[in-house]
Amino acid sequence: MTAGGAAEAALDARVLARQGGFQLDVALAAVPGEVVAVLGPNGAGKSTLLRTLAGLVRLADGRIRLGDRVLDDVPAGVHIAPEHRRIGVVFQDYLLFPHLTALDNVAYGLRARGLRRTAARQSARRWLDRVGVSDRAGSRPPQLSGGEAQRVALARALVLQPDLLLLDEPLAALDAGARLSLRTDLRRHLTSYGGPAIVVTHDAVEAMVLADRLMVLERGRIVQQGAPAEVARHPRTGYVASLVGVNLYRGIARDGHVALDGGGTLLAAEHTSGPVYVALRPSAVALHRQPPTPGSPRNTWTGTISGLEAVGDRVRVAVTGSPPVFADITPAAAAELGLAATDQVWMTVKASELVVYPITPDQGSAAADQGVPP
Amino acid sequence: MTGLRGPDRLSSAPHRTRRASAPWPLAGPAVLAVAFLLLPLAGLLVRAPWRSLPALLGDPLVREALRLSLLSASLATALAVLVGVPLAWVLARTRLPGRPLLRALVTLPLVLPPVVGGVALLLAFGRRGIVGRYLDSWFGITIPFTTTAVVLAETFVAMPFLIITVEGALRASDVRYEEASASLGASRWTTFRRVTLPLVAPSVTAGAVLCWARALGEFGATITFAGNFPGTTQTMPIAVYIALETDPGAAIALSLVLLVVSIVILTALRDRIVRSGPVS
Repeated sequence: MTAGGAAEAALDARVLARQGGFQLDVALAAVPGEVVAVLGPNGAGKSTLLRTLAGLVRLADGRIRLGDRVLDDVPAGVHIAPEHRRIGVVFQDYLLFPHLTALDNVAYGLRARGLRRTAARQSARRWLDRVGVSDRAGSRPPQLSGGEAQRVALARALVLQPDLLLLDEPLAALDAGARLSLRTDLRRHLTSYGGPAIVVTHDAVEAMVLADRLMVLERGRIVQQGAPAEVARHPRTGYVASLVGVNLYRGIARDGHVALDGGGTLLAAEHTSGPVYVALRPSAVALHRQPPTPGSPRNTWTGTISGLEAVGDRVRVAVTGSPPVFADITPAAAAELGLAATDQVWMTVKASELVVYPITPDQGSAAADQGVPP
Repeated sequence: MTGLRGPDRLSSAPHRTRRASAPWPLAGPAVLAVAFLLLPLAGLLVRAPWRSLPALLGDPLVREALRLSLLSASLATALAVLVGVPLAWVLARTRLPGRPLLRALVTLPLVLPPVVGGVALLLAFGRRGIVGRYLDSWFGITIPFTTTAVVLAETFVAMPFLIITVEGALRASDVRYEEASASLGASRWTTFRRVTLPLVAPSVTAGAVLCWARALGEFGATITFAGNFPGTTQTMPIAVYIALETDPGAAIALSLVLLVVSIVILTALRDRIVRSGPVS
């Protein structure tokens, strides 16, 4: 939109890369204006994926197309060098050139394209202004705060109006306070950029806020993708479940009952049948010291406390049982119940609190049991 | 020297107290090392013919040798930078097959006796040498026993100092800056010029100073390959050696000059090297 010059090029990539014993095998597409977040734990292959797109790592097999340009085509023997790809990269720790001022860092790419110094600096100054750090134009990177460096790095990539923008953990190097405001600004710049953008992150909140679409990468493969809200509501792997903070079970549903793979049966309000996932928010689990009296349609079972931990303004209680569960209760409730490890407790969960959704055949094998952050 | 600034003084105070209590297994040998290095210099100062010094230094032969030494050491350093930095880059950045062997070979002059280096240079660039033969018959160029030979001999012996310094710096420097440069559309040559080189510039300077210092003191290869012709090939070290046989006083005076020149240049550059030594 406002960036104007960004070419309307869609990304279409099928990436196969090997490093040592690790294999990355991903199909990835993004349309202009779309922000795709690649979310995954450390070592999942996120950075490798980004580096293959940028041309810094050669594919073992596959193709990468950007608009009508073929950047990589292994069967056809095509590989375009990084400097000719017109792909902007915001690196994890920004990698601003330490010997150049913020202004000259932003002007660097324009100069490399043959623009004269004054013209390049004029453009660079406009971009520094746009990302809100024009007052630091003369500073060298070591003098910049993390947030300022991030903005300069973003300007340095965007000033070239790349066909594709790649961001590697763009906010990971920042402290919590700076992260909040920068996240909002980054979202705004990504929206006005106009081309497709890929953000790699291990931070679920960052991914949810920045992205239109979420891809979850585990051990070199995409295990789940969809709109952020959809992924949060229907996690399909233990990793995703733990990121969004829900209990996740797998089982076979029949007549409103779900027989869980790991043992135990849950009563659900939704009537599905066949292999399903069951997602359960920890705050929907109530704990009791005594066996509760039977009431409305609900699940009741017992277990032993294996751990207690403060999470935000709540206490997260880990209970082993059939099934095992994480329950969030208020500190007041925890004190009233006098909970301690190895105590026996009873859990109740309303049937309507269970989110039950089918396991689609292609994703069934990738799933893992259990969830909720440690 | 510069005055102490506030923060410096505060931060260095605790270090100073610790330094005072150096354990004797370190302090003893350290004192010994200082004595060993400084006593010969003291000997020079004590035995220097101070009275006849002005006359000796006014001698055109001495001035000529000094001029030749400074000129040839500087030219040798320039030559070493011109071809040594690219070689260091090749050794540090490419995956050339046989690179370890190449690295060992190009640093060979560090351990080779300089006289052997001079003989080798003669065999290569002498009038009957494997290259010199054609230089002579095709272009009429004769290298041995000329100032060019002095520069080549010094380059041969001193360039490895530059190469290993710069190669080490290149290996230690973060390749990801070069990747960032490529992602910004810069060609590999632009990346080298505008990112790689500036990042290792302090090490290039340090390597060049080492190279220059080694070239200034070069004797064995020079006298073998270039000989001893006042005005064209007689550098200061050679002049010292020759004078030692005829006029020991003059030899001491010449040595003093070499010493003073070295000290002046090294102290002038040392601060810069030490300050910017480790690339941040």
